[in-house]
Amino acid sequence: MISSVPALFPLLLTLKVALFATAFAFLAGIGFAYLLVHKKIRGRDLIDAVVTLPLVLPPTVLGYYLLVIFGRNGWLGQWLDDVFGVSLIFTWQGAVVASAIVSLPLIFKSAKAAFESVDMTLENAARTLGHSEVSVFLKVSFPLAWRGIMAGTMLAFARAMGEFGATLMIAGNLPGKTQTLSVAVYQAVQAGDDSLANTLVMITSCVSLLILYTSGKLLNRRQPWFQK
Amino acid sequence: MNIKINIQKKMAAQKRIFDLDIHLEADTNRLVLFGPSGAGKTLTLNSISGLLTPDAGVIAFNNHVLFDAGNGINLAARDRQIGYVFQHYALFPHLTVRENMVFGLKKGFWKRHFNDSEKINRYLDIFGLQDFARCFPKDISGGQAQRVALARALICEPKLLLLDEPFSALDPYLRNKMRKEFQSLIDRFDIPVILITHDYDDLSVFADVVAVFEDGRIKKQITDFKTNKTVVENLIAEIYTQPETNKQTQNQKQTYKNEPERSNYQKCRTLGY
Repeated sequence: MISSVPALFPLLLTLKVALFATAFAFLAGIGFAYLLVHKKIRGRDLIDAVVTLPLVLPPTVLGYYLLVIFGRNGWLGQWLDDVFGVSLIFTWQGAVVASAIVSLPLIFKSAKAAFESVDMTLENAARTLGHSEVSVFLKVSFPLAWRGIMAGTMLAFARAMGEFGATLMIAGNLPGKTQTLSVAVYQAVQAGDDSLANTLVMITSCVSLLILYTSGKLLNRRQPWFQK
Repeated sequence: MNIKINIQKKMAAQKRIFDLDIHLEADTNRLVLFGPSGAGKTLTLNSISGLLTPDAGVIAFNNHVLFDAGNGINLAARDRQIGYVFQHYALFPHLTVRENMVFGLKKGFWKRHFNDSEKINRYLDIFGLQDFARCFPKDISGGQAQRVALARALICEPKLLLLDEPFSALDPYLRNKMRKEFQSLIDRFDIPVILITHDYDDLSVFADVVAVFEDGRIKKQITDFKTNKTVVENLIAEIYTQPETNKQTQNQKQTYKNEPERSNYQKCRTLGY
């Protein structure tokens, strides 16, 4: 019971990081998917491959890339430091970036499949009825692709919750600052603190199971909430 | 209405190149594009509606230019005010019949409720859809779905109505009934129509001017269909019995060589067109 207090911070941080990461991956994933399905861009196969890459690359490799890009001497890191005076290294925001990139392919892939399955005639019908491209997306493509997108988002959230490698490399392991559940478990095991490790593992498993179960239930409803 | 179409478009799909080259000018409220599947009728209709951009040419409706490649004019589909009833109706499966009908009237995403309910109710009455207003498209019959599609297009008060094989998805009995219904509805709204068909029966109901399509071109344009029925029938028989068409058709050609007394109209019927 005493060990549940040190477990509280990693849990809340993990949820916060996963939530932000999923939100960013959601927007980016849908954006990429919609563009690739609907616009004839040159090099779309290459974009597809690059966005899918985090799915197959080892998280440590991703973490290394992120360090190179966002590190003090990285081109984006230097710019962020010069303009805003911030650095992502060893911050929870850095963990958000790492988790977002790792979970992006999951949303991207399912959203792309979902957009491809939407009958183009329906989108054309909306156009002939006077709707703009934005309106066609919001009122036809997105609602019809909703199930696939949500399934991907659910997986992405679960993946973001469990992110370890890239997060450790960019955000480090600062207890009370950047230590997420997965990193805390690793540290507890390393330190031989079995009771803390057990608590953390139980919490992680229960929370993940709860999230997957509830979102699965919501997803199985016939009508999405916004069409009721 | 007066419509001028003069377009070229090259389409490539799986190593097969389709060449669309349409020259058509008509002064009628009832234009029928007739021809076998894959002759370019739907491509032409899509070009008129703005869903397909031709490579070159001009499309003008009542002296209003919709598309002019030379002068860089290409009105977006949403600005053309052309109603389109798609072959399989393209009803939005996630919206009810009523929401489908209102779709063209409320264009902003923020306006969740359309307030001119009097107009919607009037249209629901005209099209006999009052009882189905809350149903989803999958819960209504083919004939009802077709009425919804027509109502959805007409409620926006378009200047021109395009119908892509409106009866092909219906069974033969319903087809006859819907033809009559459509005719009276279209007459009631007094709107110019361009209709695609490969069904001869549609011609006798709707046609005034007929453009017979073959292989991406207009084989012949017949003004005043009613007095030139035999010309059209001969043309159709010619198109559908050419040697390069599939084997089945050739076999059928053999069959009625032995029955020379049949009219061309009957030939068309035999061939299933």
